[in-house]
Amino acid sequence: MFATPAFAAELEAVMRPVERARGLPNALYASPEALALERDKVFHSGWASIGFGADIPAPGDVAPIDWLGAPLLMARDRDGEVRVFENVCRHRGMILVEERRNFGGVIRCPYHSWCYSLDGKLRATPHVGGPGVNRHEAIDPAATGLTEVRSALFMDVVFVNLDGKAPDFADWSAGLRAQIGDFADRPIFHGGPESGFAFDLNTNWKLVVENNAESYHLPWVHPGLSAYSRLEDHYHLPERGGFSGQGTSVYAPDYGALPFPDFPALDGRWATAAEYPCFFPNTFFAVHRDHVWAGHLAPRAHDRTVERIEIYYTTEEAARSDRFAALRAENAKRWRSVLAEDVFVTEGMQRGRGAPGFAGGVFSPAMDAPTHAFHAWIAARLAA
Amino acid sequence: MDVAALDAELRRLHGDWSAAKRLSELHEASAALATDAGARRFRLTQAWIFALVAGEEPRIQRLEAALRGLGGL
Ligand code: FES
Ligand SMILES: [Fe+2]
Repeated sequence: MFATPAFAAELEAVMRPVERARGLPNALYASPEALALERDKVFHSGWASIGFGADIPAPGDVAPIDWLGAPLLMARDRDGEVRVFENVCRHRGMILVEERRNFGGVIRCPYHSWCYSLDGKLRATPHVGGPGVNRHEAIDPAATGLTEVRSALFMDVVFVNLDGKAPDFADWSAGLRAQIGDFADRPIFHGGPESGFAFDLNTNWKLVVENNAESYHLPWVHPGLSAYSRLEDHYHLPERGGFSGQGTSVYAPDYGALPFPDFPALDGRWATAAEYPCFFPNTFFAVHRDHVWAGHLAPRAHDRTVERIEIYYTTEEAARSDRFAALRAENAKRWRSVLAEDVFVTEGMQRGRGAPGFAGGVFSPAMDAPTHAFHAWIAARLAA
Repeated sequence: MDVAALDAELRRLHGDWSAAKRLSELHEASAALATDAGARRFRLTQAWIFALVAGEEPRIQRLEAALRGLGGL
């Protein structure tokens, strides 16, 4: 289906200038083969997010992740560094860890009890040389540690490049960094369990990205938001490569007498600006002077996507103290309700892809530039 | 601790990895009762793995030294 000249022509049509472009074809939303293709050409060959540092807050915490069929393990080692390994024992390939947990000592394989330290080193191979003999010349511990996956942390989001061949993450994310670098290297503080939420969506992951990238739908889908932040207060983020999205020029939250503290020494434009870049393929950021959030999409099937959001604050106090607890809860509730308003759209567009006559749709050059940038980026990855 | 009590507690805690520290102690005690070097080495190995799981550093060091002495490491 995807090795045909017709499909190549469809990708070509996506990459035209926005005025003449079509959207990605239905086939990329409609079959398991589409997700398999994207797994190879988009997710596993570039950098993609798999979770959050906040999922594993303490040394010894680990979280297993099925990353489109690749079993991975996010781990925080004893020095507090986040690392990602293949979640598989180097002996006979048993899955090592089944659920999120903390390891006070080693990670032990449940099969023959080979043990790995949190930095991935093979620490013990019991009875490997016969009963009570715990070494064998055929097994070199230095060469038999957990397979580490290339990973990077950006604003607490954990990214991996599975095939190991993508450019350095710093180069990959240079455009995004140029846009929201003011926020990128600051300490940020996760607001705790009530500051995270998720949606299990009956839609293709690309439709969630598309919807998050644009502001065109705000007056219709988010009337509450629009009452305060009008469509004309929104702008497209400049095209710097690797992301697209929108911003607002009138950010002024009404948090009452005790607002969240702002990041110190931010550039003046952030006094009233907030921006929402979608970092291709599957990550969102939202930056405001007093809080940021990050979103991660986990495609579960071609028509099922889990969207996770985690909210962070500017100080430990804002993120953890009782003084701000009610406000944190209110902020999470607001964002959850805004994003919940998008669910019928992302799911409706998925069902729309069943229409045989729909050929990717067209774009408004004025309003859909961020959407088109995403489609064109995907088309280029798939065509490569 | 006599052999019967040791066996009973080992059986009771079998598979309970949250009791790794105690299991390590029990296996080490059982190693002390072993009559030949092979059995001792085997039981010390079990004690060692439970100590690693529990993250009991001094015990790990001690067991590794013992295993080295017996040709188990
Ligand atoms: S498969 Fe892990 S120890 Fe054998
Ligand atoms: Fe929306």
